[in-house]
Order: sequence, then C-alpha cells, then structure tokens
Amino acid sequence: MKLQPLLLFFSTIAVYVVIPAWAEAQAYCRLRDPITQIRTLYPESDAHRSIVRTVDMETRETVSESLPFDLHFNELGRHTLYVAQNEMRPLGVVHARTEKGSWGLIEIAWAIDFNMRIVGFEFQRCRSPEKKAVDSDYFRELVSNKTLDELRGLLSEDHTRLAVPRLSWSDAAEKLAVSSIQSAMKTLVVTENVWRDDLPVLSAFSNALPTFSAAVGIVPVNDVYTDRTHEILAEKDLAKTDLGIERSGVVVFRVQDVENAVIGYTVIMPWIYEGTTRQIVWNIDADHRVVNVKSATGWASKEIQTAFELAIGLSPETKAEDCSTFTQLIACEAIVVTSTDAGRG
Amino acid sequence: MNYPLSGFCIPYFLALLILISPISANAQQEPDINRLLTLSDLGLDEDDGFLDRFRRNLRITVDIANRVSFPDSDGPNPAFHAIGVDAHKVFSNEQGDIGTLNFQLYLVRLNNMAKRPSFFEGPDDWELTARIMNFNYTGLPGEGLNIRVGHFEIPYGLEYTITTNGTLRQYTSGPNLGQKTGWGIGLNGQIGKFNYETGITFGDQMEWSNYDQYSFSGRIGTLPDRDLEYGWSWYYAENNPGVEKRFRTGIDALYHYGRWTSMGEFSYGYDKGPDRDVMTGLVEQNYALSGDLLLLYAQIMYRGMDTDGDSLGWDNALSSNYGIRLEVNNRWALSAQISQVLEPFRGGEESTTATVQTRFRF
Repeated sequence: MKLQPLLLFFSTIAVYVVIPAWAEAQAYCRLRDPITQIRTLYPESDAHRSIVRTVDMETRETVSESLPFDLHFNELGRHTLYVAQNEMRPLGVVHARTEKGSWGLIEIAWAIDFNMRIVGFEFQRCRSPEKKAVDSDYFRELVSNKTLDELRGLLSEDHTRLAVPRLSWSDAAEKLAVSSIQSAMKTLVVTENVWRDDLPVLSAFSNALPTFSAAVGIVPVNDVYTDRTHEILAEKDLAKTDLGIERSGVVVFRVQDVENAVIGYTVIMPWIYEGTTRQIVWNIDADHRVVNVKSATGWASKEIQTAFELAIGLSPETKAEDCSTFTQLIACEAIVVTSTDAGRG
Repeated sequence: MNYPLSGFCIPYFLALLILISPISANAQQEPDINRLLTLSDLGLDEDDGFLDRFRRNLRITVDIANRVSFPDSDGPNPAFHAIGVDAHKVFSNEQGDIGTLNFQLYLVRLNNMAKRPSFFEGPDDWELTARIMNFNYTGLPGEGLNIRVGHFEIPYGLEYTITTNGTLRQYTSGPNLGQKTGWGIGLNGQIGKFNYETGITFGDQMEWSNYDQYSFSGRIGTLPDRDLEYGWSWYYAENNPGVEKRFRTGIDALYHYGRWTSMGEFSYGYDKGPDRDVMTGLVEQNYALSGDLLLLYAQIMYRGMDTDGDSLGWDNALSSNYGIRLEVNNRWALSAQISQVLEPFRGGEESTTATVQTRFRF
C-alpha cells in the first residue's frame, strides 16, 4: 500500500479537526441560491450577498424561550442569510426555512426588513393542494409588515388556529396558513439571533448609502451619550426635556469614504409617540448639518413626517429657542450626539 | 495504483498544510472600538483572524460511505468504500456574491468490483477521485451568465436536476453518455423562467490532459420551484473510450403532486466507431414520507441499440431498480436498492442484485 493515499486521508481528517463542521445529510452541490425568490421579493435588487452562519443549540434555546415551538435538531447547522442589494445598498434580507407539512416539506423564503418585520414571502416548495389559498393576496397582506408580536396576534392562544378570518378556507388550508405563520415567527427569531452582529451593519449601510454615495465603511460609535454630550444637552436645555427619545437605544454610525475621512453620520433613534416606538433615521453630514430624515418603520402621519422634515438643514449653531417644533428639538439632540463623537480622529 | 489526480495531490496537500498551520491560526485580538466595517466584513466577528476569514461562508463536512452488493451469482460481494471532504464556499466582494466553490474530494476503495468506472485499474483498487470540484463565477451583472471552471457534472437529463452524488439512486447519464462528470469550462444562468447549463470537457471523467477527447453538452430547463419541471439536453463527444463519436439528445420531465413524484427521461442518438443508433429511457415513481426523510422509489430503465451492418435489428435491454433511502438525522443516511436485469442485451443474463449503503456526514 502506497503512502500517498494514507497521507491524503489523514490530512483530510486533520482539516476537519481544525475547521468546524456542521453536517447536512445531502451533498452541498445541491445548494442553490433562491435567486428567483430574491428578485421577486425585492424587484429593485440587482445583486445579493450571502452570509452563512451556524444555527446552534443556543439558537434553539432562544427559539424555545420566545416561541411555543422548537427548532428540530435537523434544522441546526449552517444556514444562509441572503442580503438583497441595489447598487451595493442593502434593501433587506431573505431567509428560507423548511417546515414539515401534511404533504411533505414546505420551504418558504421570507423577506425581512432591518426592523425585523416580515415584508413578503415566496414558496420555494409546497406540494399541498391548499397552496393556492395561502399563496393569495389576502394571506400575503395578512403577514406583510408584521413584527414577531404582530404575527403572534394572528394565531390563537395555543398557536394552532388562526385568530383572524379564514374566509372560505378548508381546515387543511388553515393548517397550512398556521404552519406558514409559525415559519415566519421562527424565521424572525432565528434571523435576529444568529445574524445579530450583521443586521445593524446592514441597516446602517441601507440608511447611509442613499445619502452618502461615497461611503465605503462605517464605524459604530460605541459611546453615544458621553459626559460632553450631556453637558451640551444641558446647555441647550435638552437634557431634561422629554422628547420621547429612547436614549438607551440610540445607535450612531460614523460614515467614512475610501480615504477613511468622515463624510457623515447615520443616527438611528427610537422615538416613542402615542405608545408606539418608531425608528427615526437621521443622516447628518460631516459639518453636523441635517441632510435628511426618515422613519424606518413608517411615519405615524403626513403631519409628523412634515414636522420632522422641517429639521432638514439644522446645524450645531441652532439653539433650542430657535426651534418651533419638538421634532426640531429631536434633530438638535441628534446633531449633539454626532458633534460630541469622542472616537473621531 | 493509478493517480489520475497526481498533478493535484501536491498542491492539495500544501493547501491543507497552510490551513492547519499555526501561522494561519486564529489569534485572539482585542476588539477595535474604531473598527471600520465594510460590506465585505459581513459574516465575520470582531476578532476573526485569517482562518476565520477563510471559514466565512464555508460549509465543510467529512463524508463516509460504505456500500455492499449481494448479486444472485456466485462469487465475492462487490464493495465500495469512500471517505472524503465535501465543501461549499461563497465568495463575496463589495458588490455582493461573486462565486461559489464546490469541492468534493474522495478517497475510494473498491473490492471485487467487476463493473466499475473506467478510471479504476481493476476490481480491487484505491483511487483519489474528484466528484464535484469547480468554481462558478457569478459576478457578472444579472443572473443570465455565470462561468463554471473545474470538474462538474455533465449537464444532461434528470441526473442534472436530481442530486445523485454518492447515492444508490442513479439515472441514465452514466450508461448513456459514458461519463457523468468531466474537467472543463461551462456557462450557466437563468433567463426568464428557464435555466440553462452548457459545458465543454476534456479528457475522460478524471483525467484532463487528453485534449483529443472532449465533450460538448448542455441542458435548458424550467426552474426547479414548480410542480412540473422539464428540460431538453444534448451531448456530443469525440474519442470517448470505446467510441470515436457520440451524439445524444433527450428530454426529461418530472411532476410533483403531494408526496408523489413521477419523472422520466428519454434520449436518442448515435455512436460512430462502432456505428449504431442508441435509445435510452427511464421512468421513476417515488414517494416521500416524514418530511422527505424517507424516500421510496421504483425505476424502469430501457436501453436499445441498433448496430449498423448486422441484420439483427434493435437489441433491447430492460432493467428495474426498487429502493429506499432513510435520512436518520442530518448526519446518517441508510439506503437499500434491488436492481434487476429483466431483459438483458443479447448474450447477457438476467440478474438480481441487492445493495445496501450507509453514509455518515459530520
């Protein structure tokens, strides 16, 4: 027996020892990107990016703590999150999950935005004769733009029946709809848990790139509310004013170009209005002037949107007494957190 | 012992050395609070080193399969053993995904295998075999054009749409074309509601050095997310082992309804040197249970040849396969198949063979 095959055999095993491995029962050559589904769910996408991470026992525990159903052990392993992009700007993500159905496996590709809401779905595989009922405008509208809690509200308390009108659907169609909603819920929990480090970066790029087209990188600002920040807020009479800003959730990214120069900031600010938290996104240029503002979760009303847009153009020189609306005061606070960015070189 | 991949072994071994070298080991670093993040950094953690960067978007598994056949004739039982690596890695740049590497390298041992692929020297042999080993470049705009280089499956018929890699369940490509894989270059993509793949291979299934021996093949088919899928394929080759020229064209289709799937393929063509017309057909019915973890299937295969110059007319052969595959979990798969030669070619014999296989991936 020659030595060479043995060397190759044992060296292959050594590679396994070094490189962590998560098995799947079938060969990897069968893996195919859900290109059709990505393009359908994000029609403006022109490219996509894969992020492969491991769904492990920790994720399984998180799912069982958050939901009344588990991940099966066969669902553990390496999975791909697809980022739909348009001219490099992330639009949202697609994650496909497989559920057991009465007619075999059901594979659904779920589109999720960066606020962890389901924005759409496409069946990759569903052999059920009831598929038409669930693959309908009614059901799509039912699950679209829903967070995990809102999806939970579509199901009965025991999560086995719909809590919303099922029209003229059969029991089998309702069962398929329930399985699909459960799949959506699982997908949200798994995505938020497994890709928790990637989603904020994607969100920041998604918000920054349309404004700062020269951006090639972002730096998360770790210490947003420094002592200096609090001092300036106090000077501007903003420290104690309750503007509805959830300060503990404010996230700031420094936006930099190819030469590592700071070209602006993206500030994502949770704002509570009428009992609902909305994500207000400020894009502020390198001179700390407000370039634009939008709500990642949708504006409460046209009037609120107009009020916030009055803040465009505000700068560090703006005084609180010059602001005629509370939305402009919120903008002043966003300007302060960027101008006191301690990590900026 | 033959090493058709002898030119590959040395760089393969060197690549493995680099991977396990302490130089490339993941060194713990202090997280940089001012770390610039680009889209290329997605999938990496803050303190990832070189090895972790290589592991990004990587799936890798060791795959071990053992197969034993029990023919109804006297003699030792043929056996097949394989151990190897199955790896899949996605490459991305600032623009997004630009390509996928599929890497399957297996050490195979045959015992008492009278019927075997031509690259094995004898019924008892070791070989290092490349199954699928190619890079598919997807960085061109749109989905319509990707470029595949390396060792890939000949795009023809049902074999292309159903994964038969290392399984008992097979289709007609092997006996019909004389090869299932080859080294070469190809194009593939999706245009509207169809996908396509075409490729040129050189040499036989494992050797790429013989440029006199080549094949040109392709398949155009519907997308795989429908209940009804169908396609059309072609194959042309020169200087295949045993024939000067070979041409085939065929159609294939499969239909899913509930847990049942019906599928079939039909192929017609000719060989030159020896000169003969050839037809091949297959139908399969399968049934999947328990979330596709259990698959039952039945196949009937027809092969016919009409050799020029003899007055014997068509020589027809009919065979069947009945099989079961159980995925015990995401690591173990057990398979069993009974194969029968119902009607042999002239001079052949009817036979029945039972085969069992265990496969472990970890």
